[in-house]
Amino acid sequence: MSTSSSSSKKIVLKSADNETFEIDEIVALESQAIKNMIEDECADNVIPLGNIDSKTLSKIIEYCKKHAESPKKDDNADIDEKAVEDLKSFDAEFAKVDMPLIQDILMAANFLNIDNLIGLMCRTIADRIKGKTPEEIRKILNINKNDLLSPEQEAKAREENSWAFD
Amino acid sequence: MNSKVVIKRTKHERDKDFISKLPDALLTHILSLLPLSDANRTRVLSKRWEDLCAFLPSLHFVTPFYNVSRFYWRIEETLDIRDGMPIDKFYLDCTKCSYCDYNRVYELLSSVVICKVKELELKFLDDRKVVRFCWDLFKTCNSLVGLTLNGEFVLDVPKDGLEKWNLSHDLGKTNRSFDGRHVPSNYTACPP
Repeated sequence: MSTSSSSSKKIVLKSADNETFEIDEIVALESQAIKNMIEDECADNVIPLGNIDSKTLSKIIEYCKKHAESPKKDDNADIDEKAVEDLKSFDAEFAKVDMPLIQDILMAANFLNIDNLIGLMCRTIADRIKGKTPEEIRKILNINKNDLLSPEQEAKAREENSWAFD
Repeated sequence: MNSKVVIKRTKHERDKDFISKLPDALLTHILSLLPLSDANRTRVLSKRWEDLCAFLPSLHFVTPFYNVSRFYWRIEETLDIRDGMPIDKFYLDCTKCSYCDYNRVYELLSSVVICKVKELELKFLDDRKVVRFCWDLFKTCNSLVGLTLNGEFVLDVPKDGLEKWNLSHDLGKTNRSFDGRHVPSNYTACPP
């Protein structure tokens, strides 16, 4: 079905809440998982993503668009310094979202297999918990209170922790 | 009966503890981006996080003053949990405790070598127990690119070993003798 007005091929992604996003194929190819589907010709016109909501998906598409558009490193040796800087500052801005959304994006990026985005989200999470106390980290990451260690387990964990340091 | 049943739905599933549902590989990746001390501290966060430090690319151990045998046991357990996963760096400091079980350490090093360790740093006591460094152990270890030894022991460097293990650079930093027995203060040992 070629309904696209532009010359590039279009792919339609459908979120868990049934919103559809029509994007250029080149943007979709940023996802290794979708790329594989397309190559194996098992992608229909619409690719349903039953575990990704529209808010997360639109963020991911925003990221993939930007990265698909910017020149790839191996394209030529003298890539524009400015383009690299531009992409860096885009990434920095992109990551300025709340932790729940970061976690959603990370889960989705992992599912869609978008390496750069996985790396960006992991770095962002690491930056936010760096130097924090366990109590602060539990709050930041919203760690399930039912999963906490018992006092004995915690004492043991703390002891083992001391074995890793001077 | 009940006046009302309140079904309290979370605003969104996002309120849940999503991070703990991530696969080990991703959580470990996050940990590996943290300073080692921060990464290790995460083991107290919750049950989900308790064992994740075992999967860090670098392992760092310092012998405690007491519970030494539990300490060794924990290292063994850590290596077991990793199940052969390659180790970037293995650091073991045995200087904090006045007793070092060299046989146990030898066994640990044997396991570490199997895990394709790239960098090894060992610190041993200057306890006048001169022991021979276990070069044989490393003959089959092609992955090793860095070796740092601290302590007092016999270093009998095999002639054929240096290029093969690419160790000459590290050894070159201190006085050395390739053929003879020799006891530098900057190398460590494990039993013959």
